[in-house]
Amino acid sequence: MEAANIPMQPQVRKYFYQKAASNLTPISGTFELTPRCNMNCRMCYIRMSESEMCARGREYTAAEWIDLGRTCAERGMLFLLLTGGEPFLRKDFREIYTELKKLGLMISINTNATLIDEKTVQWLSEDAPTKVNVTLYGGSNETYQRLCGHPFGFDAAARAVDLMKEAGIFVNINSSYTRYNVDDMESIVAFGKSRGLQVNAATYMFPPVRSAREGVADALVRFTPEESGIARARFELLNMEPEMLEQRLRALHSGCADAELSDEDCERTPDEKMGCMAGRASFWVTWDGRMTPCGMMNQPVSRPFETGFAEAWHTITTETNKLLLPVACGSCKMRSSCMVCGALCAAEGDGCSHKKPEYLCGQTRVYLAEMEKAYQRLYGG
Amino acid sequence: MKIDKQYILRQIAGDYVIIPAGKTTLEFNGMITVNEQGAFLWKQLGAEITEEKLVDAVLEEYEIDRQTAQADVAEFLAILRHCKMLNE
Repeated sequence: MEAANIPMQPQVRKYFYQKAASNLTPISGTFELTPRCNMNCRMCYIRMSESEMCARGREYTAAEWIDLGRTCAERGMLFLLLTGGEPFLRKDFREIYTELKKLGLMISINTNATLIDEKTVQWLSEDAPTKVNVTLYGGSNETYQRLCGHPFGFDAAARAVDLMKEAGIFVNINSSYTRYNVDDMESIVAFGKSRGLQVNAATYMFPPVRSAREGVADALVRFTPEESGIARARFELLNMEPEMLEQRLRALHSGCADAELSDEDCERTPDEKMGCMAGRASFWVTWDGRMTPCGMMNQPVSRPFETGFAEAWHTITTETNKLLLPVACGSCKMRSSCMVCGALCAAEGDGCSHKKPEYLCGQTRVYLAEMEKAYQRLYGG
Repeated sequence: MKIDKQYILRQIAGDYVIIPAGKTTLEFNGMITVNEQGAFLWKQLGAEITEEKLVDAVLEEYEIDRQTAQADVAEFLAILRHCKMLNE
């Protein structure tokens, strides 16, 4: 079958987000269905084993998620991201997905794809999601073993991507870079290009604010700001089509670039509050039933399963509206190229959203220097 | 004639949007926004209906003359035919 790999109309999506933000309609939600995962990535902030999960709480049942989805749809939710952990690990994932799909939602799924086989693809294509975001952690089984503890993860993920593409399911590649897999950047980009798939990259890693490991992160995983800036520039140089790259480099050189930020699930805004739609038009519900504006935030928080959706959403919108970005960011010359947002500032600032995120300043400075070097190399003189 | 594929019409933040469902998602991975009149016509086309009956339904719902109703219906149907959404 001819692949349906065409992006959904971004203007329509933006229009809906903007309209929703203006009247506080929860147009976009994320359901984090489980903290469990069949992989064990060194940088993961959610993953728990079954026993760790049971010690902290319980997964909500299929009926509970479906009921919440129904309420959200009644309140105006159009876009829904199903994520984990690994959502396909839930035995009742098909039931949850099928029932939520009947509500007229544009559903995307985040997955490592290693559990997706022919039968899963056949089932998915009966009522396909809007998008499947497959995270690739490396370009070889060796990297998967090193970073994720999965000896043949790459082969499994690659096969699943090819099966879904063959079935006409729209697939995106997400990639997260750490010191353990940054050398695979070229092969990940090549993987996407060879299949005509969009590749997104996260070269900034949040501090472990949500870590299941009580903040004891693998110190080797996180880049320094300089390394992160270099990785961000390198990814864009590798991934962008020549014409787009030239536009980007020239715009950055002249100092008037709009942020071309890679995470397409974040709807960015130029305001001095959250800097995105989180808590105004979008929300996240964690596996243990906490609603937050964004998956990378612990506060503000509410409990939709306990208080009902309306009260939980009211709390999130009210409290999010009180957040402010750092004053220094408002007049910063690097702002249009910076990834700054409320979630990131709060994570960098130990919960304080208006503290200047020095890590980001360093990352952006190095990123811009690297892009300027590329500009001089290609178009300078 | 009637709508051929599986779609769901929803009202979101004051707008009408048509979402593909089932196998249709593989052929059309997007959304269609329609105005109130478009949503009305869409609902009528959920069951088998002739173009003439569609015009009659429009005339019952809106205070417009037959010529305008015929033109509006024809234009809407042309778009649906172009997108291969009609089963005739």
